[in-house]
This record gives sequence, C-alpha cells and structure tokens, in this order.
Amino acid sequence: MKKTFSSPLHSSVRTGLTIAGIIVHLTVAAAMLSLGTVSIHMLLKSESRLLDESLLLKSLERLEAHLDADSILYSSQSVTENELLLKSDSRAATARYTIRRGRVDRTLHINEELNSRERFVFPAGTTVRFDSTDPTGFSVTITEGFGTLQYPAAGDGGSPVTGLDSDTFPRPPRGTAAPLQTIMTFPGASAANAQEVQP
Amino acid sequence: MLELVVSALLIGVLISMLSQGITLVSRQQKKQSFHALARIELNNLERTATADFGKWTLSESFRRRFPDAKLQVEAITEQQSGLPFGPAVKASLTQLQNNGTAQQVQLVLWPRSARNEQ
Repeated sequence: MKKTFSSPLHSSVRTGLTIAGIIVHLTVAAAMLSLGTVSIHMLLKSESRLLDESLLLKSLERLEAHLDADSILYSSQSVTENELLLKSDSRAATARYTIRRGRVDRTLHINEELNSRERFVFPAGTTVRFDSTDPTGFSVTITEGFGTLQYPAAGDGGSPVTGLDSDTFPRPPRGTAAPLQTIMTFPGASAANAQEVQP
Repeated sequence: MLELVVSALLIGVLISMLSQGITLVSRQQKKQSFHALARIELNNLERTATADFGKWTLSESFRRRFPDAKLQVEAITEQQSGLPFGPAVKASLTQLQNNGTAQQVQLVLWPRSARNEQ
C-alpha cells in the first residue's frame, strides 16, 4: 500500500499581503486621515468664529444698555475719539468710557470716588470710536476686523493692549471689502433731559 | 475591496453629520446675530427718528450687513399697546432665512422726538 505524505507547507495556502492590497489599504488610510484633518480644522475654525461673534454680540448689548442708561441720567458730556465723559450735576457722578484698542472701559465715580468699573471686550481686530452728533448727541462706531485676516488675540479674546499697532491691526490685502460696522446713536444728555420734562 | 466600501461609507456618514451640525450651529448664530443687531437698530430709530415714521429708514451699516431685511412701521393707539404712555409705534424688522422661514424682531416704541414734538 502506497502511503502518501503531505507536508503542511503544501496542504495550506499561505495568505500574505499583495502589493495591490497594501496600496489599497494605504490609500484608504490616507483618505481617512486627510478628511479627518480637514474636518477637525473646519470644526476648530468654525468654533473660533462663533466664539468671536458671540463675544461681539454680548459686548454690543451690554455697552448699548449702559450707554442708553447713562445718556439719559447724565446732564453734560464731552466726546473725543477715544473717550466719552458723562457728568451728572445732581449726584456729582461721572461716567467715563475709555477705548483701548477695541476694548472699552467704563468707570463710574461718585463724589470723586470710584464706584464701579465695567469692561466691554470686543473680538481681536475690532476698533471702537466715539463721535459727536448734532446737536448734543454722540455715536459709537464699532468696526469689525477683516474676515480674511488673522488678528493676534489677548487672553480674553480681545486685541492685545500693548505692542505695535501694525502687529495688532495688520493691513488687509488690496481689494478687500470694507469691514462691517455697527453704529449706535444717542441723543445726548441735554436732549434726553429736555425730553424727560415733557408731560 | 470590502474595506474600501465600509470605510467610504463611514467617512461619508461622519462628514455629513459633522457638516450638518456645523451648518445648524452657524444658522443659529446668524439668528442670534440678527436678533441682537436688529434690536440695536430699532433702539437707534427710537432714540433719533422723527415723529413722521414714514421717513424711518435703516442705517447704511445695517443694510450692508442684512441687505434683505425689511422695516415695517405702524402706529398703534394706547389701547392697542396696553400701556398708558400715549400713542406708540410698532416697528418690526423681518429677514428671510435660508430655509424659507422669516425671522422677525418687533418692538413697540415711544419715539423720544415724537414725545418732544407733542
């Protein structure tokens, strides 16, 4: 009787990796990695934009509420580009708004003593300006940064208050559309008081 | 080949979920932005506009940001407003959303200049 001998090497087929298989796996892995990277980048960018918008809206609403209340309560004012001073004769109170690179600080002094302090932080790249309006009013213009530029931000999301202006507010490339603005207008101390005495 | 199909499906599902989420959050943020800025715009009108509300117009900065926004102003009586402050003005700003619905911000105002002229 003839015995057949079969070696384990011959009975089972070795399953290895072919070069085509490796290429397919590598391609899939590369595609997944690149799409994952793009998605995470998109997510982070969108989160940063949403945070900036949220910061802008919150500061706008708070600033408007304070200015609206102050413009009615105070009887005299002086306006420069970076400072707004509202004075009340009856309470010897002074509300001072100071702009520092897109950040507005409000201090309230009563009888020359500091009573309260508020800070309105706008997103990096934002600029704020006070203007006088006729006849006794004032306006606040908040100009947002250019959407295409990356501005250096401080810890609170606003612009750094020290350093060069050219670093904090880099120039946009030519042909960039003008940035968006929000303007708040207030009738001013004397006009508001005149209205209050009307029956 | 099977791995290719499975991973392509997974990637597709993940990306569609992610992009949908980002779109929804962004849309919500736009709504909030319109709401806040429309209120500021209406408050500006209340503080500075004349009693003749037919001449009320939106500021250039607001129109630039929301070119499709429409301002509607109508006079309302003391009874309609429900408050004893005299005749008022109902001002509303409407903006069409991407999904076809309209977002409206409405304020009842007693214009300061109108009170002055009375």
